[in-house]
Amino acid sequence: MSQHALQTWLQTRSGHWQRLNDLLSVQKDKKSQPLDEVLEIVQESRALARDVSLAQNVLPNSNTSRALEALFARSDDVIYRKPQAFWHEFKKLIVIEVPQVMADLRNTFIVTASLFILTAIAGWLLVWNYPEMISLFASTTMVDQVQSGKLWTDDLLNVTPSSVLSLSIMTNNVVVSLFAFVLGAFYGIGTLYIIGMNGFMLGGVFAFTAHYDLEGRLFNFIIAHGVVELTVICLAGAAGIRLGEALIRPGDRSRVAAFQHAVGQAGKLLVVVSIFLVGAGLIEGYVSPNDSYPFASRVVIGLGYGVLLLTVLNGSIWTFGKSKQSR
Amino acid sequence: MDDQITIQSADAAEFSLAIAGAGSRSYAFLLDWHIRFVVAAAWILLVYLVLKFANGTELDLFTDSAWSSVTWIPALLVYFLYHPVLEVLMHGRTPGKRMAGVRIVDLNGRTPGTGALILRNVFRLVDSLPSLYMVGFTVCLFSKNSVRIGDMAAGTILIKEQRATEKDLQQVSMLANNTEYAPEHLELINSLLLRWQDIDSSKRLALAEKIFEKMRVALPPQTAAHQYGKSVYEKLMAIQQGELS
Repeated sequence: MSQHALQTWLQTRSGHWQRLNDLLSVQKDKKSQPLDEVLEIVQESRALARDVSLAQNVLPNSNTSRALEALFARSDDVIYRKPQAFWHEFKKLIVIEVPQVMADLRNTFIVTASLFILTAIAGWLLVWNYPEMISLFASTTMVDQVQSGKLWTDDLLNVTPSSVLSLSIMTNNVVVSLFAFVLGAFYGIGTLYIIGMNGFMLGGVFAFTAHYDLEGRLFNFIIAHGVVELTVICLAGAAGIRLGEALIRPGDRSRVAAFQHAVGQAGKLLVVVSIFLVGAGLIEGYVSPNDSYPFASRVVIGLGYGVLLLTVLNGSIWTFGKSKQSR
Repeated sequence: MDDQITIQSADAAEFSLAIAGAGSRSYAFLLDWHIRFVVAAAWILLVYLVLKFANGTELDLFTDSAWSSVTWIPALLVYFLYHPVLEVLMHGRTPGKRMAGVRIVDLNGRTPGTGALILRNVFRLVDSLPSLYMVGFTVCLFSKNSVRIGDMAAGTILIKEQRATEKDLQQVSMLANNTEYAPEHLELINSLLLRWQDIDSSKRLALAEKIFEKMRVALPPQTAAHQYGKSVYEKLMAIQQGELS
């Protein structure tokens, strides 16, 4: 390009670049920006794309080239930024995307739940035969309480109010579930450990309480919140195993791309199950430690909430009315 | 020179972004950590003082369950939700990142979606293991694009914020309107003037002399070292602004 042509190009275009910069600077209040200004941004940005390519050729590694690239990166970000339609996105997530993810994850979930059950049986067998092994996963205070015929959950509400109890349980459950998921980044081994340990502990604690005929009371405490809580931990575990699987056998994608895809899919599921954990925390804070709730009502709450979780996850709750109408 | 990532836009233009390394990342994190810690601690102190002086009650904020929830829950929410909430609201930035001049973008160089920003924060659980972000820091040192596991998972990168500033565009305008000299020569002068204060005085003078020679412009008269440096700088400025013909 001759010096004259370069000069002419710079003279013709520099005003447009300044104009685009000004338009982008006032772009903060997007809703009130006139439509013609928005269209102008799009047009100027497209023209700038050509200018960037030209500048890279005729003025490589120059300040002009860098300034135009930075301006283009900014306009590209503004133009292609996703609209913030929270409720629309959430509806799409819960009605369409999560059921798809759940269908894809079904077999992994069955494997994870089986692992949880097997380790729970192993924990039961270990502590049933060697009760002193309970010290591996229970504190001395808990052990002393059970040996004196009491559960650590007795009089829980006298020590901590339901609101605080719910919140701490909720936080704990969300953290455990997230850990079960993210530790899948270690080729799935971290997830297997979390699922295995939780199953082992549950089985072990039940076996220990059974030695003192307290297993019925423990079951009575757990049933209202436990169905959803344990299901969610297994779902988070299944998602974590998927992360490990993506790293071990990425298929057609690169390892990083397969990992990102698995995280993106499983992440959708975790948003929904975390909401259910909030409900489970409330049940564990208000219902489970409250003796005025009879066993039957606890079973109804636990199973009902569990069925609600599964129908939301597989999407049948959204199609229930429609399929009935179409018949 | 920073590591760069080249991005091909939907409009077929290529642009480069400077990747923020472990140093910039750690600096931004430390700034953010101090901010969230101070805000959370300030809230606890405020509740304590309000209860003590307004109500005249002295409460133990650690054991009084009702008040401890008023005190600790908001403080913990500030501490733990600081990153995800602010990154979403500030389009991939936080106050600390802004101060450090870095920003999160996706692999297309654009502001990541809410889901990606939340996911990169969920993976802090792994990156922070076993303590002091050792896993995240180590991965960042050795990974392509200097990312931690959370960024790999969410498909995000931390870049150095590059904005076409008013000054940059004014320089381009000057370049356009200065018909006396070739734009590539003026570019050299722009680059030198931008770095003038950062370069050793003898080296910058040598560079300026080379540019004058290339442009076939006469050197300022040789005077005392300080005066000569000033004359060279003024001549460069005059050429840049089209005042010297």
